Amino acid sequence: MRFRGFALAASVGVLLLTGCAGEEERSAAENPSEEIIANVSYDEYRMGFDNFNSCMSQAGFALVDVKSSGSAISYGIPAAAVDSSTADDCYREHFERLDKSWQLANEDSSESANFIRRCLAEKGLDDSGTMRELTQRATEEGVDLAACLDSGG
Amino acid sequence: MKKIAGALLTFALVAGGSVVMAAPAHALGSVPKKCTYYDTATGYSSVVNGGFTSNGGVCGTAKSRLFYQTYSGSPTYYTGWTYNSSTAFTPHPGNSVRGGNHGVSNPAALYSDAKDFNS
Repeated sequence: MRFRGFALAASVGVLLLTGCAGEEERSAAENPSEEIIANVSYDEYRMGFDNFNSCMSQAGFALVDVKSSGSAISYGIPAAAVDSSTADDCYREHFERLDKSWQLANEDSSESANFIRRCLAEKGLDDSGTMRELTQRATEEGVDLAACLDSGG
Repeated sequence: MKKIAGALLTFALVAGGSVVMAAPAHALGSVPKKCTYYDTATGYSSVVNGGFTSNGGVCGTAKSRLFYQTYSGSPTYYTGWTYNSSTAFTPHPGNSVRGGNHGVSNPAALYSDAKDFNS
């Protein structure tokens, strides 16, 4: 009898855990959050952007200059949408978490990494390595990123 | 004599200061924000070269975006956010950058306003 009770409790526990896992998977694309999602695929990232774009369109704002730039999507948002907080609302609801997760997961091949590489190369320094290695080298060597950018780096 | 010396000293300090503080020709601003005792987040934007937010990696994820005009007198647009663990670089998006929004995710509590700032 005591065993039956234990088995029942265990079954309920397993069901609850399974349910939670499913919930977590769904929340990756739907719930706004500051948390980073592990292993975001490009398709998920793209879907998040498309949902953000649709949300903006429905609110009467069209994104401009939408293009895939390297591993990321670049676009322009009308200032009126930012001022009215529509852009922030749509972004937070549909895209922020996926966008941040995707960019951080792919930062070694990002425009930011290429910018640091250009600044290191301009100084005749080793421009290979991960984003963290590049940053550490630029800091240690005292590379002035502002001066580099202004010189067209 | 003392007055002349004082005036010369003042001129030297002002002139020297202006040389030290002079921003590059196209810079809109370089804004440093202390984010921990050991680290500073810097927001930088340039009219023609884009902009960035950088920190040594202690203050968390850096983010940057720029606002710009596609031609003189056009409406203003914002780029999307760029995120990076240390330096978030936003490439030049259009004709004329007007400024930047910057931030780091984990500035020290209480005294730092590095979470969201402008250049």
